[in-house]
Amino acid sequence: MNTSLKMILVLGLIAAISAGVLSGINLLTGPIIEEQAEIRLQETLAQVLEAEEFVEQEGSEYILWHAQDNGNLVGYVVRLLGQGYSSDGIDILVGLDSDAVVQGVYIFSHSETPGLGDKVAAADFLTQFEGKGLDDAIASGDDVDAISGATSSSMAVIGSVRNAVQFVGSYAGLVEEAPTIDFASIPDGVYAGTGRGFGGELSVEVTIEGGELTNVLVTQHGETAGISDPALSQIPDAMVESQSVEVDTVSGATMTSDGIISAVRDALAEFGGGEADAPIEISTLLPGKYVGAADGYKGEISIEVIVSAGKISEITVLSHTDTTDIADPAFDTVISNIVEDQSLEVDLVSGATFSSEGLIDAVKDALRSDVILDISSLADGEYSGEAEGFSGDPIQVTFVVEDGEIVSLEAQHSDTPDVANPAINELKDAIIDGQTLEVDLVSGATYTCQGLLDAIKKAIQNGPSLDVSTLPDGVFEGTGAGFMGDITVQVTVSAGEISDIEIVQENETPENLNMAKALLDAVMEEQTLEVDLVSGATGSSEGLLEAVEAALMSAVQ
Amino acid sequence: MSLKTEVVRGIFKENPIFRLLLGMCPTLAVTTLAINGVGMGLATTAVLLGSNLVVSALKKVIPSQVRIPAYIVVIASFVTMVGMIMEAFMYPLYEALGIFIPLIVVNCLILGRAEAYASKNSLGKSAVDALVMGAGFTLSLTVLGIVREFLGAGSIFGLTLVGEGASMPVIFALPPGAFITLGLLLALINGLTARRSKLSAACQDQALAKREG
Amino acid sequence: MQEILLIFFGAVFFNNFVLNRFLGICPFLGVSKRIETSLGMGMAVAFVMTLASIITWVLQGLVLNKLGLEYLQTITFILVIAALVQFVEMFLQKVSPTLHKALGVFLPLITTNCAILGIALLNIDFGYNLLQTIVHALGAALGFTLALILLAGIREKLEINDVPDAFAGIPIALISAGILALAFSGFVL
Repeated sequence: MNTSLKMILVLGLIAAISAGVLSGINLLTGPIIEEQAEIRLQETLAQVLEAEEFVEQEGSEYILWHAQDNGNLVGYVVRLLGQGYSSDGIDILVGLDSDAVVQGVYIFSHSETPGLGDKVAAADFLTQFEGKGLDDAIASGDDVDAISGATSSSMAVIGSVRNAVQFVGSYAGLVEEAPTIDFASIPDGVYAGTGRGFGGELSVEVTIEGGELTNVLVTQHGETAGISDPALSQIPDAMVESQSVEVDTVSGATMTSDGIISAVRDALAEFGGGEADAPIEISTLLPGKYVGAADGYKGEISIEVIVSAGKISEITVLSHTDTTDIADPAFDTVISNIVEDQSLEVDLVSGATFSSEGLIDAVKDALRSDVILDISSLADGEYSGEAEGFSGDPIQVTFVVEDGEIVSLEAQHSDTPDVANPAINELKDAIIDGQTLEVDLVSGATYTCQGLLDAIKKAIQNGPSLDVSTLPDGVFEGTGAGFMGDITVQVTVSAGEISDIEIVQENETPENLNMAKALLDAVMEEQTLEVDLVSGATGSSEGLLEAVEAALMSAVQ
Repeated sequence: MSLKTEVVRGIFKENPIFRLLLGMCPTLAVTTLAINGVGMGLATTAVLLGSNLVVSALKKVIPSQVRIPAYIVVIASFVTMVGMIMEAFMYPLYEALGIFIPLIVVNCLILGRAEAYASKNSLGKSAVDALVMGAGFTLSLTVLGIVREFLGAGSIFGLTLVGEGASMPVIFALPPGAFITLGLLLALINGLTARRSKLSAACQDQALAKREG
Repeated sequence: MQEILLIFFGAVFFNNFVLNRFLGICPFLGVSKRIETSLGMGMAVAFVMTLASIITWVLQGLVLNKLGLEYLQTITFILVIAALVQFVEMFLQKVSPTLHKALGVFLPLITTNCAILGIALLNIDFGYNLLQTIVHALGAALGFTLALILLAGIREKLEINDVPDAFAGIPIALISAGILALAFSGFVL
C-alpha cells in the first residue's frame, strides 16, 4: 500500500477510534459529573443559608438562588465577584433570609496573596457579617472590620456583602419606595445632608430657590477617583434637570450614585413626603366598619376593622399575596395582640416582619379613613351629644337606640329656624329610614346638617347613657382624666345597683378631691351618672365621673 | 529479565523524577500535599499503562513517519479518559490536580516510554515497564509530597503531626519551597549515590526523533 | 485598558509561568545554562505560544464549544501544537535559514513544553477574549524568557564557582530557581 495513504489511513483510524471511545466515556461520565456538580453546589449554598433546596433564578443582575423549604421562600443566596487584590477577583456567596439579613458568607475561590489576602476566607472574618441587614452600614471602620494588611481583599468582600444586601432588598421589594419630595413646598435655602457612597460618607449641599432645586454640590466624599467621577458630575445635573431626587444611577458607579441620592434626600428630609403619622386614638373611634390596605411582604394586604364601643373588636384580612404558611399565623398573632392591647404598637412577628408591618399599616390606613357606621352595633340606650352648627352655637342631639335601631331623634339648635328646622327634619327622616349616617346634606343648610351629623357622631362616641339596673354584679375598675392626672376608681355593683365607689388612685389636690367626692354620693343615691359637676372642682369631678363611667362601661362588656 | 530487576530499575536506577528528571512540572506543582502526589502519580501510571499497551499492540501497524503524532493521539486519549473518570468519581483530587491532569499528555515520561520501549517490546513487557516506571514516579512524588507537606503544613496525608499553634515555614508549600526542596532532595540522592544527575536524554531524544520522523 | 495591563504584567511577574505556575520547567532547567540560548529559546517560545494561543482559542470557540466536543480539548490542542511546531520549523527553514539555525534546535523541544499547552488551557479556563488571550500569551512568554535569562545568568556564574559535587548541575540550579521564585513572589501590586 502507498505509504502516504497508509500513514493517513492509520492516523485517521487511530484518531477516529480515540474520538469514538472518548465520546462514549463522555456519555457515561457526563451526567455523573453534572449531578455531582449540582450536589456540590447545593452543599455550598447550604453553607450560607439553611434551606432544603435552592432554585436558580434567571435574568437577575447577580446570580441568584431562591432558598426554599417545602416550596416556601425562606431566603436568598447571591453570588458575586468582588475585585480584590489579585486581578482574578474574589468569588463570593452570600446567604440572606427573607428580610435581607445576612445568614452566612462563603468564599468560593480567590487568588489573593497567601498569608495576607487569603485571610478574608477565614471564618472569623466572614462571621462578622452575619446578622447584618438593610439597616446596617456594612462598611469598614463602621460596623465591620477589614483585615489589616489586606485592605483590598477585605474591601472587596465587604462591598460585595453590602451589594448583596441592597440587591436582595430591592429585589424582594423590601426597600421602601422613597417618597417624592415636592421642591415647591420647600423654603429657599441651602440644606446639608449626608449619605453613604462606595468609599464612605458623602456630604452634599442642596440649594432650593423659588421652589426649585437649583444646585446639588458634593462637598465631601471618599469615592474612587476616576470610577466615581461620572456619578459625581452627572447625578447632580440630572437632579436639577429633572427636578427630582429620583434619577437613574450611573452604571459603573452605582454606589456613588446611590450615596449622592440618599444624601440629597437626607438634606431635604424634613420636607420629604412621608406618611402623616398622626397617632390614632382608638377609644374615640366611631363604631362600625373600617376598610384599608397596605403593602405587606409581597403585595397588598387588604383588611377590615370592626370597632365597637371605642375598641377594636375585630380585624379580618380580606386578601393578601404573602406566603400563606408564614403570613397567616403571623396575622393571627398580630391581630390578637392588637385586640388584646387595644394598641397598634404591637411586636412584629419575627420571620414575618414585613407581613406583620404590612398588616399594622393596613389597620392604620383603615382607621384613618371614614367609617361605615354600624348603627346596628350600637348598644341600646339614650345617646346625647353636641357639635358646632351654622351659628356657632352647638346643635344638641338626643336619640334613642333600641334593638340596634335609632327609633327617635331630637335636636336643639340656635340656627335660623326657617332654614334649619325643615332641614333637620328631612335629615332625621333620612337617618331613621335608612338607619345610616350616609345621607345627603340638605342644600342651603349644609352647615346645620353637617353639625347635626357631627353631633350624632359625638353622641355615639360618648356612648349611651348607662342603665345601671342592667349591670352585672361585680367590682369594676375604670380610669378617667382628672385635673392633675388620672383618677382610678373601683365600682361595686350588686343587684343592679352601684353599692360602692372607691377611689384607688388619684393625683388631685385634697380640697378638690373632697369636694368632688360629693359627686360620688350623688351617683350612688340617684343610681345614675347624670349628676351635676361640683363647681370649684370641675376637673376632678369630670375625672371621677369619667372613671366611674369607664368602670361601668367595662361592666357592660 | 526478572520482575525484581524491573522494579529496581523503575524505582531506583531509572527513577523518572530523581534520575531521569522527567515530569518536572507536575512534580513541583502538585507535591504541596502528599495525597496529591500519590493521586498524580497513579493518574500518570494509568495513562502510561494504557498508552504502553496500545502502542505495543499497534507497533507493527503504525508507520514510522507518523508514529509521534499517533502516540500523541493515543496518550491524549488516555489522559482525557482518566480526566473524565476523575472528575466524575474523585472530584476533590481532580480539583486539587487542576490543570496538571491534561498536562500529563506532555509528560516526557510517557512519550519517552512509548518511543523507547513499548514500540519495540511485547505487550507483557510493555505493561510491566509501564507499571514499574509509574511506580517509581508515584513513589518519588509521594516522597517529595511528604517532605513538603510536613515542612509546610506540619501534617502527612492530612494527619497533623505537630502541636496546635505550631507555625511551620509555609514557604515549603509555596513555589520557592518546591524548587528548593527538590533541589535539596536531588543533592541528597546524588551525594548518597555518589553520582551526578544529568538532564535526561529522553526529552531531547524524542525531539530529535520527531525532527527525523 | 487597566485589565489588559494587569493580565500582561500578571503573567510576567506575579503569576510567572515558570516560577509561580510551574509550567515549562523542563526547558527551563535544560536550556538555562547560557544566556544566549535562553534568549533564543525565549523568542521561539514567544512565537509559538502566541500563535498556538490564537489558534486553540479560535478552535475552542468555533468548533469544540459549538459542537459540544469540549472533552476533545486535550487531544485537539496538543495535536494543534505539534502540527504548529512542525509548520513553523518548515516555514523557518524556507524563509530564513539563519533564524532557523538560531532557533531551530529549540522548536522540537517546545512541543512537550507544558507551558504551551498550559497557556492554551488557561486562556480557556479564564474565559479570556481574543485580545486578552494574545496579551496573556505575550506576557507569559516574556515572563518565561525573563526567568530563563535570570537563571542562566546565575548558572553561568555558578559554573566558575566551587559547587559541591552532590549539588552540581540540576540541584543547585533548582535551589537558585527557588530563590528566584522567592524574589518574584515579592512582587506586589
